[in-house]
Amino acid sequence: MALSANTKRVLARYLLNGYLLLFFGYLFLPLVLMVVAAFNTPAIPTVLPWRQFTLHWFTVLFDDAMIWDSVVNSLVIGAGVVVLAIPIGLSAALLLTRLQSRSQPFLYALLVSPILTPGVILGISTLIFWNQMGLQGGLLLTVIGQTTFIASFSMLIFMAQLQRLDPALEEAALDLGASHIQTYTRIIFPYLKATFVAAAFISFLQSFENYNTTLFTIGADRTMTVTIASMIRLGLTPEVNALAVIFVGITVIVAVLYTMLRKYD
Amino acid sequence: MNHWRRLVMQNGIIMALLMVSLPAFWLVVMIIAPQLMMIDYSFWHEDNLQLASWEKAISEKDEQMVDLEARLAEQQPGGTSAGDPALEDQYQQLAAEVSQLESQADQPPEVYSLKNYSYLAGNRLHRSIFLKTIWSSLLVTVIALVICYPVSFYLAQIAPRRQAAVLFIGLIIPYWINEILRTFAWLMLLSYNGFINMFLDSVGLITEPIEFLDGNAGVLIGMTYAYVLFMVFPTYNLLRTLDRNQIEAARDLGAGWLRIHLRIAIPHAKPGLAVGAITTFMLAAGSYAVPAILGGPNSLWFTQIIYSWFFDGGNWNQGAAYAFMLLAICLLFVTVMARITGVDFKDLTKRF
Repeated sequence: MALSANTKRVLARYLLNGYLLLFFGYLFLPLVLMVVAAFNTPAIPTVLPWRQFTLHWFTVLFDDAMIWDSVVNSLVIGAGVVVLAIPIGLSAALLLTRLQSRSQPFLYALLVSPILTPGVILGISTLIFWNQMGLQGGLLLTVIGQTTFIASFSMLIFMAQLQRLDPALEEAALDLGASHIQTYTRIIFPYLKATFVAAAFISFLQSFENYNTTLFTIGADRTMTVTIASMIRLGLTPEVNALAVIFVGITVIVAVLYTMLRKYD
Repeated sequence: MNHWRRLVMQNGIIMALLMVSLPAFWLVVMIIAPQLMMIDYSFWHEDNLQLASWEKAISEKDEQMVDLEARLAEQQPGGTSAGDPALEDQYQQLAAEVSQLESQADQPPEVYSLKNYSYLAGNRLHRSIFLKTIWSSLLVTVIALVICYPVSFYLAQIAPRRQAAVLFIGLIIPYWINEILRTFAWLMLLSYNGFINMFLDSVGLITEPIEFLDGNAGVLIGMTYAYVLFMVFPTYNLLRTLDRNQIEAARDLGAGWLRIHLRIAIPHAKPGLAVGAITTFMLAAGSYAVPAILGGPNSLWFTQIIYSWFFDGGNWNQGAAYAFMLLAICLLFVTVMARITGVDFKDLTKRF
């Protein structure tokens, strides 16, 4: 018996809804378990069996100097990356949007290539090159290694905005006697104000979360991701879960704010 | 030169200088030179035969020196008067030769060859791990593609605005959470005493825990989870630009849903799918954290071998060759994807 078109449609609807439910369950179940286990007493992170509610692992986390040292390192590296990636990305974006040369597409491809390169390769090539120049692994080398590809992201963000800039604005300013510097400080930079914030935010986030490049360039120092990874592999306790609770919390807040802002944009 | 003059005319000398010098620094010192040096490293190795012969010469001369010292000491038991000048001279000369050899041995000669690459080809274990990494990354890419497509399509075309906004938050939350933490979450699910085993045991479905983390299964599951969202977003971005009227028209003309997807939606989403596939493949092939956390000794990933050349084996040249092979595979994948989908590079990179 053939199904009527309407039954078919209803069936498809149920299938699709079921699939979406499964998909979002798949996305969130692991995160929920990770968060819940932070409040369970056993020394190995687990939800089952549930013993007793505790905040013990948060006190352990707050007393752990090693983690906070590595968080400070991550913040320092993130700040360094922003300081380098913003001017580099902006100047490259200006160059690429204004250069009317036949080599422009080739230059563009070269400057975007770090995004298409695995992070470990960037770490390795940075390590080899700067070691030859006499610079050992550490915070500075990590800033250099991360900036290699984060500058590409920053460049793409600036380019998207610059392509929408009306050239008449600039011409009018110059015609009315503004100097080139004035044109930049009064017209172009104010036009890019929100883009600076977005590029800085993305650059910092990319740096803070980075593991693959950092793994090779960090030397004997530690960033937060390096510390978390080594805690998971050697000596795992729900302290990691407590840290995860903080991150999930921050992410949820930022994600909601971001979506609301986007709606009003 | 003309381009330079135009840049100066348009932006002033200061801005033009910045616009050229900063990207030039980035391109030359941070992008090109390190890659070239890595490639250079991969083609040479320290000449160990030469090094061994120098070390042998050093130890021989050391023995002679000890011998001479003994003879000199015999001649001057009190150590006050000068010894035989000829012996002294001989001793000094030997000492000079030894220090010269030692400084040579500190920087062994570099021999250029394909040895580092042939080592990978000849080492059965490493070769199989290399091939497994490629094959598994392809598998992760295909699985992620299949999982993501209905979600992207629903969000872009079917979901009402409000619902789409909520679901969108549901996508960016896991997307922004650190890869290491997300992988750790799966460790809690899959480990021997993990959630899945505990759960199955408590409902009586199993008597023995399942070893998810012994083979590659855990790594593949973790990677798909970690990278699937990199596929969802580019696909979603393109499907959103698909005009609903096109779908309606196809439906009115009698096309079934399969045909609508195969002939209209998927071709339209091609650049997004290509970007998603490239990103997912690259992240999977270059992943270190996921196999390190969810894998065991039987499920080594190629990046782990590379890492050990640098930090356990101390052979950077060998490591550089392995790293270059990984890079080559990723470049090959980009080229093949661009060819298959007919999307050019510029269009591709606009989608990140």
